[in-house]
Amino acid sequence: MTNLVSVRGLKKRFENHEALKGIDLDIPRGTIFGLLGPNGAGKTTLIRNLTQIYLPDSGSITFDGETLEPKHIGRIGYMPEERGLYKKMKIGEQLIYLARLRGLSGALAKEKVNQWLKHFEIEDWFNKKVEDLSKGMQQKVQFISTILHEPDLLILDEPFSGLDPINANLIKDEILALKERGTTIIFSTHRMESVEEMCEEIALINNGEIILQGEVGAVRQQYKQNLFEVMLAEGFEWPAALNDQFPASSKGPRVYHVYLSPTHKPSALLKALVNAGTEVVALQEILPTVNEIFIQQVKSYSYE
Amino acid sequence: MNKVWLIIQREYITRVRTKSFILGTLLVPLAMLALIGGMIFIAVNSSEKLQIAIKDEAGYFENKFRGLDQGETLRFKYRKDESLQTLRDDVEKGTYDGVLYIPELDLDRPAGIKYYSTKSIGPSTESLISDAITDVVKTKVMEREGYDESLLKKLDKKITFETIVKEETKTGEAAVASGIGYIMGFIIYIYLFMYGAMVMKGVSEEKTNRIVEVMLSSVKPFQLMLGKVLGIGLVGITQFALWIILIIGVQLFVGMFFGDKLMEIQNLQAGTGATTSEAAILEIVQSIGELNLTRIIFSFFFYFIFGYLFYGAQFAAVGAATTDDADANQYTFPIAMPIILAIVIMNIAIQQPGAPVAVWSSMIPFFSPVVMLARLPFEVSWLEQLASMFLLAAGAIGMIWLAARVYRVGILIQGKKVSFKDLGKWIFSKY
Repeated sequence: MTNLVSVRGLKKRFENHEALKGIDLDIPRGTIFGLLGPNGAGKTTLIRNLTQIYLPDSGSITFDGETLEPKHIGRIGYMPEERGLYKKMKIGEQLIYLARLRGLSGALAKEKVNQWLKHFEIEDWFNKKVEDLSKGMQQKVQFISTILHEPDLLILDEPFSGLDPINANLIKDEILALKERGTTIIFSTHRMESVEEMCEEIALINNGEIILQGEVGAVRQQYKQNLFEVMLAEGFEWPAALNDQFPASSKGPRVYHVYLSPTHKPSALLKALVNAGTEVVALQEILPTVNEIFIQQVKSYSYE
Repeated sequence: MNKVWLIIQREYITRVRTKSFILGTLLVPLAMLALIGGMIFIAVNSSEKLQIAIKDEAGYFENKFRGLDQGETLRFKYRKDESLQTLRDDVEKGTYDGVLYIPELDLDRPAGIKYYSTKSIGPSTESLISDAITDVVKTKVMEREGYDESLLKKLDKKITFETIVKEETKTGEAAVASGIGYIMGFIIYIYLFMYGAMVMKGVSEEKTNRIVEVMLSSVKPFQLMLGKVLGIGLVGITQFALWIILIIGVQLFVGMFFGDKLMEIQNLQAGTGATTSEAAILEIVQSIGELNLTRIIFSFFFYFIFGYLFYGAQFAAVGAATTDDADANQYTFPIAMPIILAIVIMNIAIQQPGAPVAVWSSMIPFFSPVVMLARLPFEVSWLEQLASMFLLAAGAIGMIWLAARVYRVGILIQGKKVSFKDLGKWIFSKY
């Protein structure tokens, strides 16, 4: 079984709007899965269905081959976008409490808490209250609370929001380390910078529907526009004679972007340039960034 | 259920450990100790030694003030032979604290009695003296009219009556019953408000903290709400139990060290000596004994717990439905109204335990925790009480269900003003 989570035909309706209009989604085991979408697209609703905060109106969610049930709570870790901890509670007790609610025994929870506090070199925080910590520190505690019970599925909603670069990197490293150990991670965001860097698979959700999904490289290939970047050698310019066949736009000194029609191959462009007596230093395909695909897709859907 | 237990533990322990809980629990009995101590101090220090000289022109009052001496604190000196002026000079010099001057009295219009002093006397001493003079004048008039003095004694009787309820003899003390009823009803009233507000605050804190989303990915909304309501309820019971233990402790302590003083003060306050006040206390103790204490204590805890659940659930729902305090107040009002109304009805129930309004409202879960408890020390049939208890328990379960429906939706809604219509929708919607 390659998919840890499979969603089929998931629908969820609130009073006057349909938040999810029939979602089909497969999340392969051991991947970092990017769930992308603009605000209000239905990401949080989908996640709340996965964490069993909401029950689906119709459709099914399969977790590790079984229908998703309360017994799976202990195998799922969830860090919501809106972070929250009990402010007046001591950090150690709070972490133990949250881990026990996820099904860990008291002794095991305590052991894990100590282990993780040590891992982050914050053992002396055990007896501190949350309200005495800075926001960044609270995020660290929040992250620990999410992974303490060593979940098979980790759901992170905007994990880097509000983090300074140092802590963001720290968390990023932890996420990658967890992935190495086989944890499946759903990573929900509307910020694309981190997606390309970390995610292997993505799904783009807009207006309650999945509008595209797949492996990051494949998606970028799928949405490529035959755009090529050409760099010419010193002292050369784009030959005017080629403008009819290969209209180029200048993107800097000696750098040009050319959209090739589907009938043309890049080798044809190269040949034409060489024949025109131009010295070419580099020729490469420009694949669209996830961000560009995201913006383009969301726009085209909202204009439909 | 294991998770509910974990939540109960957290709610309980985090609250019981707070400074405010510990202080509140200790300070109330200490405040009582201070109050009792203060009373003793004031009583002991203010009971000065009064020496009053009596100048009696007619000689009617010789020996009449003898019985009124109260040890060191009040002493009458009969001084027939010294002139009023000498006595008044003695007062100036401090030999006496005052002179009571009784002229030759016209028995039909006794007037002209004066008390000369440098300081005023208390009302109890004043009435003591005037009662004594009145008695003597009465006797003199009787003698003049030719009646035997013993007739006056025969006439001077205080008549009490027994109240008989349903063929069972109850030696009176409706006062004791209403006292106990009032105290129990009032404790529940305070408890509902205090701990109801605590539930509401706890829920809205979780909501504004946003911890609630993490919690709800681990437990069901119903479990979270139930755990919170039960945990806070236990805090209340703990505080209540500690107060009782500490207050009893304080009383024992005070009794051990200041017992004699207390007796003395009681006697002073009773005015006319120890025997009557002791009898009164005995009578109260007896009438408490005649009440069915086991039943009252059992009922108290039953109504205490289920009344709290009934209202606590409502406060939890309001805490979940609202985001800011001003909003919350709008919804606490409809909850608070029945509790306040219950206190009003309780006052009627104590006067007339059988009044229809008292009987009916002791069936309605909104009022029964307060009203039924106030009626209980009087006669309430078991059938009536069981019906009331059943309705309250059913009402509490129904209210928890209803509150949970509102709670599960409201707790996840942020920054939206909620109307009563929304609440209605939530109850019937599925989420």
